[in-house]
Amino acid sequence: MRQKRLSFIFLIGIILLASSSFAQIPSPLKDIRVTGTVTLDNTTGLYTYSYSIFNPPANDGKVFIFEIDIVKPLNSQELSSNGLVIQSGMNIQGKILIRSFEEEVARIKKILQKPVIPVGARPPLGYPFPGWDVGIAVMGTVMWGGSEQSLVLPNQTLGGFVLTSFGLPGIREAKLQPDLNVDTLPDEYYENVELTKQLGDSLIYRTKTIGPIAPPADFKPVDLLNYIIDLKHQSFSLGWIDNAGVENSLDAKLDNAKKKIEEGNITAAKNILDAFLNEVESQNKKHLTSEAYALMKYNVQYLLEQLSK
Amino acid sequence: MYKWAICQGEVLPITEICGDGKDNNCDGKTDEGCCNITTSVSPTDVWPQKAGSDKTTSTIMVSLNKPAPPEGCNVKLTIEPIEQSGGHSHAGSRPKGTITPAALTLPGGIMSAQNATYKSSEVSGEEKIIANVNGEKKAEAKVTVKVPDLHQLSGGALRLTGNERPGPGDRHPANHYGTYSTVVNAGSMAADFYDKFNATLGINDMSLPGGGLFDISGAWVPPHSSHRKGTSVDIDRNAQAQNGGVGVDRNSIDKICKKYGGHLVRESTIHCEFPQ
Repeated sequence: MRQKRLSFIFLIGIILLASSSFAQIPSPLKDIRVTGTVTLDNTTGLYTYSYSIFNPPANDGKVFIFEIDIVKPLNSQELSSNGLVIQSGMNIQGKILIRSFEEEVARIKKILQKPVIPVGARPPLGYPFPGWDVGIAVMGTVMWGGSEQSLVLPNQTLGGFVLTSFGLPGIREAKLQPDLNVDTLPDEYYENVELTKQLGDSLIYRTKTIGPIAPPADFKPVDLLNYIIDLKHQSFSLGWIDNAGVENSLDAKLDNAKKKIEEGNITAAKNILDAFLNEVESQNKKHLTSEAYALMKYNVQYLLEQLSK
Repeated sequence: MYKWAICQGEVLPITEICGDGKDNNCDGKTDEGCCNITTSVSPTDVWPQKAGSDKTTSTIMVSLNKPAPPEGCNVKLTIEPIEQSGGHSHAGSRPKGTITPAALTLPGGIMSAQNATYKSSEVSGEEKIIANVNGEKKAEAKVTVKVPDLHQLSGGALRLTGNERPGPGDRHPANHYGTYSTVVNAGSMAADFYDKFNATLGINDMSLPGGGLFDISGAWVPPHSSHRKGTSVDIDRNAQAQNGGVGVDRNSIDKICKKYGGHLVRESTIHCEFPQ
């Protein structure tokens, strides 16, 4: 009798194991941490945006796709694409595939849904073929995609996602998707386009990160300053500035600089903005994340350059 | 002195023949008692059912050219599908649209017109709308059921497959049609794959030239429940390299499919679905 019961339990276990290994629907990705840092090559004016992704242990999905919006804002400057290349990934011979930004866009020109700003990009390297790939996606994003052996597992961090651009740091949307093996979905998903789309969309995690933005074509110092003030507010809301006192202090400096510009006292405004930059430097990695630091530093530097012209 | 000769070429009154413009029964009127009707459809092109559009109906107008006879005209409307149309080169009981109402009565003594509604089936192709009066065909019109503006995929770093299935005849000789963006996307996807794997993707079923039901078995029923509107692209699980076949992994296609705005769907091949 006891042996029969054990056999029954064993059988149930086997059935459960078999069904769970076939029908695998990951949970939606949650709380992925995307960290972005920016450096500027002062001689070329080229910004390098480097990203890392942390997939928290509570998730059961592996990060498969990472996208950053690069749509060109309306009435923005035409940025240079000089020297920008997409290292799209490794081919089967182990060679890195390289295309210029222009070549990459020419491939998708007919189907590109929105104009994009020029960027270069490269994927995390060092993985066995096929590894990570990167390209410009038709929806107006830079899209990195992993392969089976290189996905970002729960409780893992992966860096090496790189963008280059002449665009100033701004706040951009980032999208992360888990690997969804449609071959293992239950039968109701067979050739069911709508249901599969709904499932895929429900698993996506959206967040904000730092990314290149083209400044307005028609430059007005006060408008740029208002934009920087808005960036600072957003940075506080996003937790990139984690101290209200620091935020208030930065706020006061930007407000003063704005008043001086409105009064036509450019020298005084520049002095205040220099003091602002000193505070940003001193708060870097203390109360300012790398994102807030880059947003404040490079946008104010750009404003100072324009005021000096 | 005259005498009657033999009458030559004599024409005697006969029953009125409709539509010949003659007074056959010698009563001083031409074509009386006849139902002289014409039939038209508007629009002439409609979408098949289940293809993502509600433009699946057309208005059939039956109108008289001359006043109807006193008893009126009872018009029966039927549908006759045109074989081999819509990319289906197979026979069998081909599904056809429906007409509501299928019978119309045009009142006697006056010129009038009446409408009926044509509703497409799931199958693309051409269908004749036939108007009968007393079992006699009096007029016809044609309606074309199709997803508009589908283009044929061709060229590039790809092979077209899936149209050589075993079975009688070539059931669907053209199975690689898609919307303009789908055709461009599929070509770009194959180019990306070639760059990476140095192998040529086999592009299997897409849609038929007019979209609609793609009955791969030729039985006018699924298994394909998608592939109806020119946005589905099936990819073979083996690609062709110079030194033989190479496996195509789902993950690599998923990446490329997403890059072009699509997503994968479970199917026996690798199915990439692009936006409309």
